[in-house]
Amino acid sequence: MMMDGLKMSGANGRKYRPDAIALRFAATSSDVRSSMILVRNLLGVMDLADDDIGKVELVLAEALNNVVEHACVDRADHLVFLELSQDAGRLECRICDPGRPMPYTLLPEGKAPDPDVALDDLPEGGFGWMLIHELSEEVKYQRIGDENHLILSIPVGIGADRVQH
Amino acid sequence: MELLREDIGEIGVIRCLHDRLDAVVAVQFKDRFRELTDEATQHYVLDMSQVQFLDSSGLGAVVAVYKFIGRERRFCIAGLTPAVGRVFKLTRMDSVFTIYDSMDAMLAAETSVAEQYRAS
Repeated sequence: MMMDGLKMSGANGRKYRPDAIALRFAATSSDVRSSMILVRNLLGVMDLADDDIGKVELVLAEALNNVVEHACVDRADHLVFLELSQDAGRLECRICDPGRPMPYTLLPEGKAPDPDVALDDLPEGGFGWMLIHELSEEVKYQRIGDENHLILSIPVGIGADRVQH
Repeated sequence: MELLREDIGEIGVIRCLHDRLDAVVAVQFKDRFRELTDEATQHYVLDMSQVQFLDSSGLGAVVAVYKFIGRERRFCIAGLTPAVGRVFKLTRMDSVFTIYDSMDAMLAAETSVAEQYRAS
């Protein structure tokens, strides 16, 4: 896996507990997976509760899978930038990629596929945007120059042990 | 893709030994699951108790193997970890599958079902 530009910063005076992280990786599903494992560990260092880490990991994985499978399809040379910062009960996430714009340059609304159908008609996909919208407080999409910017705000609690450090 | 079949009586238990069922392994999961099935077995359980992360691609793969097993045979899922359970719940796919919290709960409920399948 290629990964450069990992950056951590902390305003709380403890270098081992960052408030913000940024990383850059290739637009491939294997790099997305490696990044998610790294992000999961870093969010633990940021004192997010396990349940919140699971939520964030799912939202980011869905958003990044869309980047790999649609915006940057077959462009392993494209680099994706991911930035996370913790602020007042929310994790602010920004994902930037140099791939193709969203259809009509619009954010997909994420309508849930209907599960009440015959076995053969059960949906095998189409859940991604629905999960992103469901777990995020705010989702914004901007096309800036030749880049897609997806901004996500995910509500998170503070780990129970944070005050005791 | 690490899938392992371990039968319990008439029930073909397919255990997912991978901790992530995601976009990277979704296709391998479907292929490997099919390889582990046979015509004779009428009753399958997918043991997901080792799976810590499931994304929409992984969920799609679970739906695909359910379709493959088909209406004529029985398919259920056992052992959803909290993060995996959330994906089933948010997508309402928990209403589509028979799901047990643990393998013990599955065996308590499904053993008699397995006998019915054998008798029919």
